[in-house]
Amino acid sequence: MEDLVLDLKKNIKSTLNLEHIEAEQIDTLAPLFGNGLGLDSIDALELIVLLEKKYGVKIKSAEDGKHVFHSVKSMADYIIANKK
Amino acid sequence: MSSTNYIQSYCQIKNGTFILNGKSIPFLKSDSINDLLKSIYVEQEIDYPKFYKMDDLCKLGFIAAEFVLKGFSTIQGERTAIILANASSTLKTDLKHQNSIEDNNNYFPSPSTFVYTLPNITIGEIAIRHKFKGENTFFVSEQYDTSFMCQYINSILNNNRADFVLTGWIEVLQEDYNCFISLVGKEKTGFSTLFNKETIDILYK
Amino acid sequence: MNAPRVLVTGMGVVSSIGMNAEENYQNLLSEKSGIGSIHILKTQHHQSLPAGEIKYTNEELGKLIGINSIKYYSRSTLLAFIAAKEAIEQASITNINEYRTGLISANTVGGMDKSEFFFPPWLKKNPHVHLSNILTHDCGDSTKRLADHFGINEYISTISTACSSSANAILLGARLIRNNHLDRVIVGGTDALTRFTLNGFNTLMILDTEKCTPFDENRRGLNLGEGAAYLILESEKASAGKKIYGQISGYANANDAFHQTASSPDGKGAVLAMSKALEVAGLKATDINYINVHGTGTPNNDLTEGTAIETVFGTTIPAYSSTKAYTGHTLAACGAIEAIYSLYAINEGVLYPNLRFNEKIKALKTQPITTLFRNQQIKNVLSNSFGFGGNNSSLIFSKA
Repeated sequence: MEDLVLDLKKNIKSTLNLEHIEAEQIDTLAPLFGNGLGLDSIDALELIVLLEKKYGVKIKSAEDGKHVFHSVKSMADYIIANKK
Repeated sequence: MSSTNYIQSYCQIKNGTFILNGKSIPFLKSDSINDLLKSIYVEQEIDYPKFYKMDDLCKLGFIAAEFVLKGFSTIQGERTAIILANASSTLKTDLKHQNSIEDNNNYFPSPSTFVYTLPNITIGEIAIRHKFKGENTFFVSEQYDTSFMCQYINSILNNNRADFVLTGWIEVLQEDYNCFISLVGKEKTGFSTLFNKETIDILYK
Repeated sequence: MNAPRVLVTGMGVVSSIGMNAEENYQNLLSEKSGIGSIHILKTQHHQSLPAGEIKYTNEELGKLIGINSIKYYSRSTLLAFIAAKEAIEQASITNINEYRTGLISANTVGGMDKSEFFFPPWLKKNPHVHLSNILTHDCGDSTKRLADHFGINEYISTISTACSSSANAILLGARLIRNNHLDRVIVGGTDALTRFTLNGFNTLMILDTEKCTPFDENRRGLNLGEGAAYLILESEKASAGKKIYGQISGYANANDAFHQTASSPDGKGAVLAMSKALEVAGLKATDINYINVHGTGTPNNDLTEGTAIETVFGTTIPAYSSTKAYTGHTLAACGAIEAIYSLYAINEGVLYPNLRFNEKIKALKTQPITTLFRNQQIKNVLSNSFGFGGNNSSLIFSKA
């Protein structure tokens, strides 16, 4: 889980061009959207592509994404639960 | 109604040179336009993380606008227009998007890349940053049409459709770049040079 | 109001509901949508993503306008030629340079339809692929070819501002005539369906996998479309003795300054565009008889646009509908295509239904009209075109 969380943070940083922070600085439990990282609707779509491209896990709609992308932890949990 | 309008601030960023209101600005040279623009962003201590998501065309326009608009933070957003042009539209980003949809076995188009395949997103990024809500348009032409642009921008100001116009040429083709942006207004302040064809042709050679 | 009038003397349109203006109009009357599976464009999404595709191959389009060798004609250019030809003929222009004449054409995809098929084999160094396929790539190519063909050289321009492109072309053309820089200007736009845009919009997850339902509470997204449309705008002098189809009485453009692709919750950009257009036209909100909304069918646009309309029109909201339920979203061409539909509404006294509507958007007070109305007194029509990048344009057409 630890490795997955760090790997996820690195991928989130590069996919979303978060060049102003280090991967390790992304809080595992904090909400990704809202105030924290200032992510928007396009970032949400990029995360959907990221999950499929790097982890082979599909999200059907942006609506489902709301729960999955709540935090890095919820993303990691989803990957573990759905990875084939 | 014929009034004279003035370039209150301008900058030119072009393959190795950076001029702001007649003065040369030193910057870290780089073969990569992306690295160059990021180094200017960091050096200027601009706090706007969304900058990193932009494509090269938007980054270039954004940086130029930051410099040109220094000292103009009180201008009214709803009364400021943005009129831009270039030759290649968003060709560099178009290629990036095209590459991502080529291979059916490795098919992962990026939503954010696609967003930047429209040249007027450059206007959008500047508008969002500075809250400019005046009229805005983006022309595509082989070269900057000085006569037409002067006529058009003077008309916007003289007919009171806006108080300021941020205007110019922002062109990126692979690692070549050529950008000149000016803030044109009715008052003779700042750089205080007449906004007309002759001036533009001299300034932006 | 003393501003010189900008008169419409010719119209030409090609879309999935017709190969000329009259055919488009007849299908609007018969409530016949052009949205369905994709047949011509070779794409993996041809069955899963409905679109408003024109069911002619490029060769067939070429034949319609007497072009046998389409080597240097992209699909966008072919569509542009069909529509421009119709408009120029309708305006009875025999000598294009009799008056100061300009051309302002808009598009977003340029010659992408050819470039995207050239690219993969060329990368693999296929010797049978020719560089001539990318000579048509630039946005300005179709404009230049139109200008050369029709002999226009006074003023030529290409605008590329996403979905508001051809509305902005009309806006600029009207301004040039009002300010006496030109006597006549051909304005409009073109965009062909391409894999580039289909895949791009798909990755933004704003496409509907069924036929779109604009302004419906349960709308799912937009369908892409393709098409071209041009209007001939003329001054009083140039239009003397000609049939007049209406006038461009109001126009405005503003930026929403909120997000690259999403519109703001209060629709400030849209409010500014509609309000300023009314101001330019010297009209009150109550003077508008019909709004042809941008109405793409996306959750975001329709809610924002509806909110903005309620802000501008208060308690006297006129009839409104989205004709994108017929044609799909034709991107750069939509402003000009819908301008022509608006002028037909004025001339024929008709209001178009918003197809496939079921349930009002809960957050709005009003809903679009869902039946065809005839024999209406329509004097002033407002048409909205809102593009990515917050580029919001509104045009007002009036009886001449």
